[in-house]
Amino acid sequence: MPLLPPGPPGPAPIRWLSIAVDCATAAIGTVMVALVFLNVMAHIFNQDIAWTTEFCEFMMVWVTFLGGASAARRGAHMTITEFIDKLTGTARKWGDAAIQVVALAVLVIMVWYGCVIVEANWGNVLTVLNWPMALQYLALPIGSGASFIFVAYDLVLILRGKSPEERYGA
Amino acid sequence: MLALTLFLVFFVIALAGVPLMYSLLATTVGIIWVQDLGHPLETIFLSLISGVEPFILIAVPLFIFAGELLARGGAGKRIVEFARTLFGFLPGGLAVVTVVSCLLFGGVSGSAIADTAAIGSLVIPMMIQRGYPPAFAAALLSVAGTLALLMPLSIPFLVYAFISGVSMRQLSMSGVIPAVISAAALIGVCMWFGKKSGCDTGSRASTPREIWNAFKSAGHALVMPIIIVGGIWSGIFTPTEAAAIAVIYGLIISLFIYREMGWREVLPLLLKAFQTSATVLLVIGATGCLSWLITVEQVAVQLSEWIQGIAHSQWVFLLMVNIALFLLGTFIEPLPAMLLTAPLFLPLAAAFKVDMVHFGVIMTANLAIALYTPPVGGTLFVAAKIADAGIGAITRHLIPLMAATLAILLIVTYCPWMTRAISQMILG
Repeated sequence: MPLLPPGPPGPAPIRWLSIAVDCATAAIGTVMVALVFLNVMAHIFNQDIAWTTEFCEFMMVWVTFLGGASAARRGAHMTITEFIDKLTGTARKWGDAAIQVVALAVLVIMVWYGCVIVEANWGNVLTVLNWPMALQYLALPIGSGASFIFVAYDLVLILRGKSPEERYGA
Repeated sequence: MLALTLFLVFFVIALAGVPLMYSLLATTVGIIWVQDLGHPLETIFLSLISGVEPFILIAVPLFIFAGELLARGGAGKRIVEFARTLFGFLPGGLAVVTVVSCLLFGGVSGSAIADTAAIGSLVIPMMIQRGYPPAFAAALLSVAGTLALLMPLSIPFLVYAFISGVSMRQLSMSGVIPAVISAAALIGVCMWFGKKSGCDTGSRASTPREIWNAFKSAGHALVMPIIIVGGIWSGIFTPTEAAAIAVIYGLIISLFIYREMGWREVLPLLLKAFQTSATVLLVIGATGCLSWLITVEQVAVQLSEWIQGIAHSQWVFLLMVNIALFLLGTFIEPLPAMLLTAPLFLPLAAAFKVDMVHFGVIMTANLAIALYTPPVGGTLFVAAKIADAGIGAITRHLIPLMAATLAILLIVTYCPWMTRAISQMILG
């Protein structure tokens, strides 16, 4: 029995990417819980682990963009669906397709400018950890890239006439 | 003109069904490009990253995770049993128990949906068996579940504290009196309904021993908010550290004391919590991008001047805010509504000399109503599903309950002492 719940059905490469994103999100989440708790314990014993705050912020960026990709795979982003839900049949299909095209356009820009930001920040370092800031900013193009793949695959399914229930499961 | 264009473009894209994060970014980038404003997009995306990075925001996934652990781990049923021994003898006793359970569980979870689902799945079948109409049970749960949003561990409070820069210590105390008064108003409606419908005239009063046994059983869950909130109030730990303690405490009581869940259920709950929080935090980050544009283009200043021209006094301004939030809340859930409006309302509230902590409670109390305002709402759907009742029938039973909560909202809006009383008592 898998430790994490499987994502919606899809071809092997999409499933593997989805599993990789979910595992990374859960792993980072676990480390963050442990580190913040460790920090509390350290406070109790009058110790200060300075690097944990910066490391948690570093991971926060990664877990947010990867968690965003995981949510994109499940169609779970915050959305106002009251109006699109009124559409049925072909109108719904083209409505859903148009939404994903807008999302893809934004994601392309996020990946592009994410790469620009990463490129420009290899020389700048984090204050305590002394790691290149680019490593933290890398979460933007990588998380957005994974989201792009999931949204693009979803667009293919929409154009093939699949309903939201078939795309994301019941 | 730019303000109008921004709002029109954003609302058209968002209402069309594009996820809010992409709507916000598409609006920001689109306006910069089309109007040739010349702002470098690297700055926009750097503000997206810095919007999700702050240490305090780590508390969001951790509190969501702790709430999920307790909801799954059996804390809910013990709290219901404790409330039953205390209030089951009143007319409409089971409905009163529901309200008290939601208030107590809300103090533990901070999430309205978790509150409605955890308490609703236990009490709705009991209420229906007792003779309550399923639609009334669903209406009551959808309203009472939102009491969690005014309790100290409220996720919207945490988000508001981050956006506005007010102290989470103060904010966490400010919602308690409004939550208790709202619960009292709902209890009044429940007693009236129990008497009028004759479905629940009250059961026998519990003996002190029964109350003590129920308290002992629920005690582990009930102690949690005392530890967490006490820690934050006394300054022993920060909200983020309190959230980590809540997770560890939730794990211990769910896995080792109540033993109602196994280790295998922990990771799926953790993943779900971080997924949910990512969707919230990305909207926070994207709102930061739009706010950046609004600030550099002086849109907020123009809007502030316009509203100050219409609203000549603080109370008119607060009334306008309440009406705008109530209308917005009919189709947007509380968190995104808060994320979208707080950056605009906060400078205005400051201009009208509204206390920022009080303003946070007003926004949260108002947006909580959005969760059960028909035809759509998070707690409304959860409760309707559990009770298997139609939205039309629920709406009829919602009328007296909503009248009570709207009256409380007005009282909270115009009686700021209510939100300050506890913090002044504790913090001085």
